[in-house]
Amino acid sequence: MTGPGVSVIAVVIVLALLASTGRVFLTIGLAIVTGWLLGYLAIRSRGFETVYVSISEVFESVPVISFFPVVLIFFVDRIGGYLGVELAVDFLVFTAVVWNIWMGIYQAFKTVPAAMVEALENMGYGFLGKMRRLYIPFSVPRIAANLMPSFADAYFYITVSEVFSVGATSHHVFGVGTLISSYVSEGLYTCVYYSLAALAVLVAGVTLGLRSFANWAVAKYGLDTPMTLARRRPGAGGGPERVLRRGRQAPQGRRGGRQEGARRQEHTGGQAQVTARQGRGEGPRLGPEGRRRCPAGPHSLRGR
Amino acid sequence: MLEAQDLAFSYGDFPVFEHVNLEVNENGFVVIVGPSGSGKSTLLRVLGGFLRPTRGKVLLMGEEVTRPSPKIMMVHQAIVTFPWMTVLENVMMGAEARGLPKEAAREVALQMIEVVGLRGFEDFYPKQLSGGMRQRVAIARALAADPVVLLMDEPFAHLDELTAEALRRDVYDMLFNVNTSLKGVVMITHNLVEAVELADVVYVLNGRPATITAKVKVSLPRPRVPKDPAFIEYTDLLYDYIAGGAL
Repeated sequence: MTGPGVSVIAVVIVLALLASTGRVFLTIGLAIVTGWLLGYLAIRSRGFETVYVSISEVFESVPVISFFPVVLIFFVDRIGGYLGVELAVDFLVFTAVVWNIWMGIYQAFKTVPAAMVEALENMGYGFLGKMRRLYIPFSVPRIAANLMPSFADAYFYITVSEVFSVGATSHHVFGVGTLISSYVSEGLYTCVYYSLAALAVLVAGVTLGLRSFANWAVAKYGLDTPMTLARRRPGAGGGPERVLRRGRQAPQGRRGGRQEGARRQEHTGGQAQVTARQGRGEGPRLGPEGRRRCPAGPHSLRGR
Repeated sequence: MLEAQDLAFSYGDFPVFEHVNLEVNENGFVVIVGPSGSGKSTLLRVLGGFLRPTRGKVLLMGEEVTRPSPKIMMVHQAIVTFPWMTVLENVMMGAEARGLPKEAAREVALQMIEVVGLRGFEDFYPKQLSGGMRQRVAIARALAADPVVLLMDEPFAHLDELTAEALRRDVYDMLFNVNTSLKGVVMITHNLVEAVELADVVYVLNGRPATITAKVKVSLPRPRVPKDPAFIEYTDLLYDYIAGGAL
């Protein structure tokens, strides 16, 4: 097998990993900031709360590929060019990471001790003061607990997100998902192994990092006394009730998050097979042209 | 100075208390006692402007209290400290609420930390402190906001007996310190010893719907000793009022 030199490949793989990881963490950051604002709205307005929680619950179980039509209409068609494709990819990654972070923040906001809110209102702090001094710090352990499943989901979908086909056209941006996909279609299996190995190292590193961050977050931002909360019964029904708990017990939240991830994988088993098939090399037989000719190629809606 | 005129409050159709009149004089320490569920905490929240009364009004130096403000600061039963901030940052929050710049707020905060006896613990986090020390942090934060009146909602209830006793002994001097602008305190409790030890005036809140059933002036010299026979007379008297009301 012939291909570019090893050092060139190494550089390309590292750059692609950086691009993908940057994309993932930027969207996670966006999910956190929007989660703070929407979470505050939700605890303030009962109507908004109902809509917000219901929508998040529903979309949480919807696989990334279901958002392809949205991507087509809004980003590729309206904006177009590399920017349109990049935004489309970011949007797809966003749909993978956002829901459990939004719900985690909402749960944290919902369980902020009333006495702490009262103390801040007593001192005359408004929206910004309360956010900065109470709501945001209080939500950190819950966010930390949800980073792991979000990161896992984002990488689980990285190939389908970075290389997506709408109709007969395939779009892609620079990143590790695109890289692996193109190596597979060109039959450069050694490069695929290198990329997967590098990806494994990255995932292991990030996992360790996120674990220590979660532990640190609980130590710093967990409550120091049991306080009376307007606590709902845990374990009943879906969503907020399922993982409702105090910040101090966040490690449990992480477990909840993992179950969450597992549930999504079940829902999207078809998608997982698509990715796996590419890994085993069914992709190259189709080839790039084949993929373009056939609308039901590996990156399209076949998983559904 | 702080005055409640014919206050009534109800949750929906359920009346909690009615016809409550009380007054806090300059440098007065008022204690409201009553059995649990008599509406003490609700009354305190109405006095602080956290809840609007159904009838009547609360006046602070002649002005009606309609919403919470740093002029009337509350110290909670569930000890409120912010675990992600150091002792100094916790207390500075109160000073910053007055609109003081950072440096001045720091000065005020350090002074209040000194007043509550936590000097040397400025850079500790609340998690590293005992319950009694954390309640001192909460008191310092309230004092740093430069309140006219301090409301205390069973401030010793979450502390063990020895710690509560020590803090009780200190709290009067803490509050009416030359460094504070505090003009009056309203504390609620169901502990009669606590009431007699600290109060200038004790109001008994009893009945359903609750109302003030007795007002007792405590004229014992400070510091007061719970073993003193005169002290015991007061606790017995209060006990009779509360038990009498419950019959």
